[in-house]
Amino acid sequence: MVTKEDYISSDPSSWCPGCGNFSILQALKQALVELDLAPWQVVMVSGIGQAAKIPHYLRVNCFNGLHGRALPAAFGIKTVNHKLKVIAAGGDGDAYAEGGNHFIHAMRRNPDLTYLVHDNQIYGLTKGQASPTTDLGMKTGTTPSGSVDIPESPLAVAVAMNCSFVARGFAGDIPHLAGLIKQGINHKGFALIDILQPCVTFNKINTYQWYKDRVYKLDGEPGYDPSDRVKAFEKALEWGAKIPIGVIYSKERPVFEDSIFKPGDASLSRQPLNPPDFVKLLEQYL
Amino acid sequence: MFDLTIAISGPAGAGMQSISFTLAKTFTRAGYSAYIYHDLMSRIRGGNNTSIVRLKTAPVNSSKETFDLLVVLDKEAAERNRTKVKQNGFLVFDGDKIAPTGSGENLISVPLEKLALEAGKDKITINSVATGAVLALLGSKVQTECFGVVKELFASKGEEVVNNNIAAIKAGFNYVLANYREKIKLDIEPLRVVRKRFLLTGSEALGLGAIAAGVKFYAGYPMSPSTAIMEYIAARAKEYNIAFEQAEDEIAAINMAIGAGYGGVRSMTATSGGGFALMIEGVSLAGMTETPVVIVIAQRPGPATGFPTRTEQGDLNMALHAGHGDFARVILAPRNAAEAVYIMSKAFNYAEKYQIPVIVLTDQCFNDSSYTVNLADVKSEPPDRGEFFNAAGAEAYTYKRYELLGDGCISKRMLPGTENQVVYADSDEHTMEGHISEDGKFRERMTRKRLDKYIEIAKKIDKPIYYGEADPKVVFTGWGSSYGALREAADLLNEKGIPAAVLHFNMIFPLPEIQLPFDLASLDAFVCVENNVTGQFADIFEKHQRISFTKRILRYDGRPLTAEFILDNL
Repeated sequence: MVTKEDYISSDPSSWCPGCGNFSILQALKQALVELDLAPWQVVMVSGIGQAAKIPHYLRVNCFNGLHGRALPAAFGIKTVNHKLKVIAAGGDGDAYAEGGNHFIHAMRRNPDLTYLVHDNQIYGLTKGQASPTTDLGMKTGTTPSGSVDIPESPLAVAVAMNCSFVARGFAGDIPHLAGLIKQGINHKGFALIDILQPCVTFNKINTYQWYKDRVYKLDGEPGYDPSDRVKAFEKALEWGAKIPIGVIYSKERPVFEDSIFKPGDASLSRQPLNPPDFVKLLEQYL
Repeated sequence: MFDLTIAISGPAGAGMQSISFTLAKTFTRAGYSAYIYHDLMSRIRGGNNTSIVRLKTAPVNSSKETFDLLVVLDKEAAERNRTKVKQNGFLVFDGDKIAPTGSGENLISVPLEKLALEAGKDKITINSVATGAVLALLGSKVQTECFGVVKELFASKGEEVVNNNIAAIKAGFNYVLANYREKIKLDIEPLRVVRKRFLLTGSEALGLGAIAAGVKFYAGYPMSPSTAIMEYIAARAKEYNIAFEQAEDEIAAINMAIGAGYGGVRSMTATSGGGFALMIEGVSLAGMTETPVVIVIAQRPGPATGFPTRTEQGDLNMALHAGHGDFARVILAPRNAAEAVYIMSKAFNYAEKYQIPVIVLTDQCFNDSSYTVNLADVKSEPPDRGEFFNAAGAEAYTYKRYELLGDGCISKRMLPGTENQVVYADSDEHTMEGHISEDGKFRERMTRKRLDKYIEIAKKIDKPIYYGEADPKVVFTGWGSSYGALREAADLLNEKGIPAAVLHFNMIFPLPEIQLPFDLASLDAFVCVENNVTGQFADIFEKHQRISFTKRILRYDGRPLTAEFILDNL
């Protein structure tokens, strides 16, 4: 049996005290333990930002790459190691600004990845600038008169892209978030989990209390069917007095790896190199 | 012995490529060497494109400025290229359609369309009529080979199409025999072929070389003139079990390839200069994380969109300096299609053994051109994947991705998913385990570890080719695809009694330590010849070897280097 101790990392954290990232890390460890996955069976891929440091703070295989580029790297890793659980992670700037194009195309491609976006609606590591999800009117280092760009609704983008699994979690509710992460990992296909994450240092508006006053669980919503894409789109757009958390949309479809591998095939990384002789390849040009 | 240049010119889509391919393939099978250069405009239909075929008894790897025979498929083609026909050359045209000016003895009027409709039963067989006319004017007896090529070319379109095209070839051939027999001066018999010979493009050779080297992952974004590599791999991905994906952009492509490299397979991408510009942060990532990746840059003239369908060797400086920070890299540049197979095998070996990004620099002239390749000239280096961590006897979770094992040593790799071990790769400065580090002293050691790989590589890197006279008066130096043109320029000088030689490189960075194989002091001219405006290689070589060229011959009109261009500018 895997325990939480198996996931202890030797690397000390560099997050601010009280940061929502700690709760996300705790929920992630809980999910991995409950799924009985050993550290070596998991690869975490991240970009750059405070959130993107998360792979260092638990013991897993890790590829900590470039800002915005977690998803392409994760795709490459997953494609050649389709038996490993691959989890990408990063913040809202990483995922939706610098990585916006990759986010859209990863959903089309539908590799069996889980993407945790620590969405605190602000840039943390660069010390407080507006992000794609910063609310209208919010003053930041780069929006001194208040943000005039309307915020992106990542969940609505995901539903529009027919993303295979779309969910929203809240760092203030660890058991619920751990449950969502488990569902995302178990879901065969690209699973987006946008996580409301209070930034205690740079975002004085979207605080723990602000979120607590607004979030409600979709799980308890009678009659809500997450396979109904039109209803899911409505839920994805809901933002303000009430903010839904839980599984917004879920529908399995063939994953990218299915186009290459048959069940039981060894991972590409485990197959012997064994390349064909160039003489054979030259034959067609005789 | 013969050395013939045949150009076919017309609007894009009119069949120049089909005629040139048929001729080159026919002569390759008949035992000769062929080379096709395509002078293309960036469009799908119309304009003026010219395919230039060289046919030679000896190997040929470069194009020519003047033609022994020009086939024009419309009026514009005649107007643009008329003056390039040699004094005693031929201009083949459809006399029912156009009336080009010129000396009577050069003009070969063939009713291409009429014969196509009569014999080939379809206007589209104009190409085959023209092919037949060319074969007749060359006095060649290679029809059997030609019919074989046409049969294969049109096999998928059915027997009727094959027969119509063969009939069209015969019609063109017989028309020339009936009307211009007295102008046929040559007599070309097929040679007895003892070695296996192939006709393939530079792009095909690169893709082939990658598969023969064991590439298992390819991600890329289409960009001329690199796209044919991508399509070559895509077409064979299923058969050879290669994961292939068309990325949303070049940034994604290189990050995907690096992910796959970290994941444990041989992975690559290909692009041109503009796409590579987008990949540059990824090159730096491969350097920092010590992840193997192979990147082909098929150069075209820049800046920006530049000359999309034309050629230049203008991105060497970018390849050399690509990526912020200091780290080791290798840059290779194949001289011709045969050598591309070897270069790709070396590229993957350098990438994996030294855990670095490797750049293969080619250009439009190389990628799009077709080369006759002798099997005997093709080689490859057996795969060398470098050292891997032995997890079997190791204590659980003790692997260190960036372990410092001493000067010149490379940390051992381990695949993610190895039981009871994990691998951390990090783009931040890192500890031996791969965690983020802020330690200054450690930073120095890690920086040297990453950079000094090139010192180890340089010790064993291939030396340049030295071709020509032992006591030359003129030495031409160059790199990559220019080899054929430089050799030919040296040959022509030697024929004139001026001792000349070529010093030519395919390992561009790091440059090998060499003793010059000639006496520099007794040279009249030590010339660097390049397809760019400044002499980018010359700068690197002069600094490396601490000597100076007496002259740089630089071509930057988007056209390939030729022996004529070099000698005209000497």
